[in-house]
Amino acid sequence: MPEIVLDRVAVGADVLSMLRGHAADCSPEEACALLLGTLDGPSCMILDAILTENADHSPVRFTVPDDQLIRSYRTAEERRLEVVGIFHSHPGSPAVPSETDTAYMRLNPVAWVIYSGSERGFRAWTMGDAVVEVPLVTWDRNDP
Amino acid sequence: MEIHVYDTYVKAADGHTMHFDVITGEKDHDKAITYGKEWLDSIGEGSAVMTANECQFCHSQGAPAPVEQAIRERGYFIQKMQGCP
Repeated sequence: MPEIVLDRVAVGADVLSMLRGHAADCSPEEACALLLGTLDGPSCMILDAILTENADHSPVRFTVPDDQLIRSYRTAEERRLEVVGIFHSHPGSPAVPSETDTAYMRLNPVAWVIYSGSERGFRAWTMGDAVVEVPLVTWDRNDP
Repeated sequence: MEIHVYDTYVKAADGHTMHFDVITGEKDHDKAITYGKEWLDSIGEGSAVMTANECQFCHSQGAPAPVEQAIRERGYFIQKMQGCP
């Protein structure tokens, strides 16, 4: 039985800006973060990100350290949000999940947001029966 | 440039485990093992066992700049993970 496949990921422009900065700061290593927000059926709204260290310090893979992972889930709970997604960067390649990403997406079929340093753009993905791209919609908190 | 990542766990002479990625410009498992052995030799661990059991294909992707430069210069890049000097 596949998990609910997302049909939309909405993310604040301020969150994307923070993630872009994190990716630049960590380059040429991959950057990673946990994405906090809400789920309404297949619609995912990302309200904040907790930037984490890449324990692998690698340009080709990432691991969120266990203590930072636990802390992120605690923070989400305190703020009455959920960890709805995982962010990482691909410093030198497109924002498309690698075979390794796909293996981890099967274990954790949330929204996976990837930033490409080579294309300077974000894309969102999730896992249903297979990896599927999800439309990434940006919104601005200052909009009326 | 497309690169290929080989996840590698090798036992060092003193018994501890070294974890590293061998990253190559060609998807060639034998070549990845040869490169890994070459690097092990360069750090004084030339007697370590490294076969297809210790070195397994992980994924392919585009190359970040420092990785691409190393591959162009010597054919491979070693990303140290744990237990490497």
